[in-house]
Amino acid sequence: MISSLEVRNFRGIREGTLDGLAPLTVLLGPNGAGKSALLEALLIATHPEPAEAICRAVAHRRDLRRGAQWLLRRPEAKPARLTVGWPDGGHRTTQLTLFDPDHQAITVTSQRGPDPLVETRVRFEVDGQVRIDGPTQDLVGPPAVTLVDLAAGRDDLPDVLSALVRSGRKPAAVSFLQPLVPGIEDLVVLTELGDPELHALYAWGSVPLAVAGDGVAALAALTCTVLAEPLGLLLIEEPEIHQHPRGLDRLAELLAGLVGTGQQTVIATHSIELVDGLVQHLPAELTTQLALFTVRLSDGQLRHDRLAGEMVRFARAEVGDDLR
Amino acid sequence: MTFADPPAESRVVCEGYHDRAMWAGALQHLGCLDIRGRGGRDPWGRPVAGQGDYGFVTPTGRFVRLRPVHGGPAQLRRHVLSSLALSQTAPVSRLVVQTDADCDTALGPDQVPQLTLGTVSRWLTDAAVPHRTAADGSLLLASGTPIHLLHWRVDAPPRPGVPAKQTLERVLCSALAAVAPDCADAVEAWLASRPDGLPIPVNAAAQAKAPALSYLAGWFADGGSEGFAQRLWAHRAVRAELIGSLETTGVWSILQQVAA
Repeated sequence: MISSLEVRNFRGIREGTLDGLAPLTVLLGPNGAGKSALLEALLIATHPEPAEAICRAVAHRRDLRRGAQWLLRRPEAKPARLTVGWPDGGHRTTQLTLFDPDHQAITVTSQRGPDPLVETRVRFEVDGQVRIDGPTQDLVGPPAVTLVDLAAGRDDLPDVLSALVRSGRKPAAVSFLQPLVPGIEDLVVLTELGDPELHALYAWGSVPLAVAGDGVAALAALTCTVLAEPLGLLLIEEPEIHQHPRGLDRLAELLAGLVGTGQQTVIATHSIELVDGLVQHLPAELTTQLALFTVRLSDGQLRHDRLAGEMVRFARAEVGDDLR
Repeated sequence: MTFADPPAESRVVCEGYHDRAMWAGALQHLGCLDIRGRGGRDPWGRPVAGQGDYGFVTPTGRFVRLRPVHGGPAQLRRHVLSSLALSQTAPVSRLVVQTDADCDTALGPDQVPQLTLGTVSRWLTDAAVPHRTAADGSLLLASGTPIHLLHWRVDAPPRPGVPAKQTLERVLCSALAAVAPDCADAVEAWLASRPDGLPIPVNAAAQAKAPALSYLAGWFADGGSEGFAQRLWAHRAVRAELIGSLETTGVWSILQQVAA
């Protein structure tokens, strides 16, 4: 379980540290506060294959054609340094350095404690190809690290469903969706002109999830991902997108249910209703497993306040403080 | 709405809705704008929804949040600590804890049994919040945020139509009695004429509130009880008496600082 994150010169963050990350951690803050950057920092700093995480972080901003250079805080473009810590005092540091004039190649060096340094180069070619030079051996960290951004669109859902089937948890996913998607009987992968598509199956036929409604599609995608992923670190960007309050509440129930399973979940959100749902669905004895960080960026300096679970419950349920 | 920079708020934590009404009347008299329910937002863009969350903007663009806690010291404590929880991202620049003295008129201001500044200081110490006592008697956090503890009280001889217990109601009734002594006599007479043998006993809390609600029933019934204290600020003579008694206890000075 990751307990701390220190960030230097990454995206818009010149410096900042979050201590006291919990099994269920919520990041709240206005637009531009650095929430997405913190999720990406966690992705890169904890991923067993940092090069792959770099590719994922760059691809996360699909509207940028030459996005690698923007991983580092500009205009300084000093090396970015990301350090995660564990409760036992162990830590892992990942450093990102731009190394060519076009700034589309990044050297990634990672080291956990006294272990040997691992250095990899990730080059983003003009034709869109990515070349990775160097070892891609697994680094010590959470067994699985996943960043879920529903707004970015997904083309891996058939693979996610396959993982769900292999894990034996597809019935649980369908059962979870049924109160919100009346009549749904199953989730299946069908092909259209050879291309796999995820479909919602009804008694009368099937509907591609992509046209079942943005809210339904988002909720199904997140449900499948949450239930398919092996235990590790789950990073979720604004899961409230497209969700009606009832869907949001169901989502909160799903995420609160991960506490105590060994899964660590970090959620960046604007939704105070989601926070309320998490507090409501989290059993009282597990309230200590929740931490909420309110974050702000001021000239690159990350400021934050940390609220422990019981204070979050009081601030929302009794005081009604808007913590965003 | 344009707020003063950097964004911050003054927060008033009071016992209940009647206290809220008293603060609302005073703040509006001091030129503050009530932004609750008008799409009002705080300096961080968050809605001020009402329903326990009240917001005002001072003439200089500062934000004041008013929070009735519906409880005594234990609830006040939790609200105080919650108010200070976002010191980095949504700081409170001034915190006022408002409560009834709730004691007999014979006790002096520093003998209030219910809640003292020492008690508030202990709350902060137990929560590891660094602070010290300032020269004016307030508590001062390391961040510079002052914490004031204010009690509703009027130190005056007993008079008809004014409850003996030091509460908000005593403040209100004292002002009304000073402006309209005939009404005060009538209230006293009516309360004394209540028949014995009622099925519902009149407890101490009711005794303290009965005079105020009698004025309400007799002359201000159309406004309802929740807004009664606020409405009184619209009457020039009553207002002058209220300000006079609040000046004597030091509450008015703090009110003016909050509304600045």
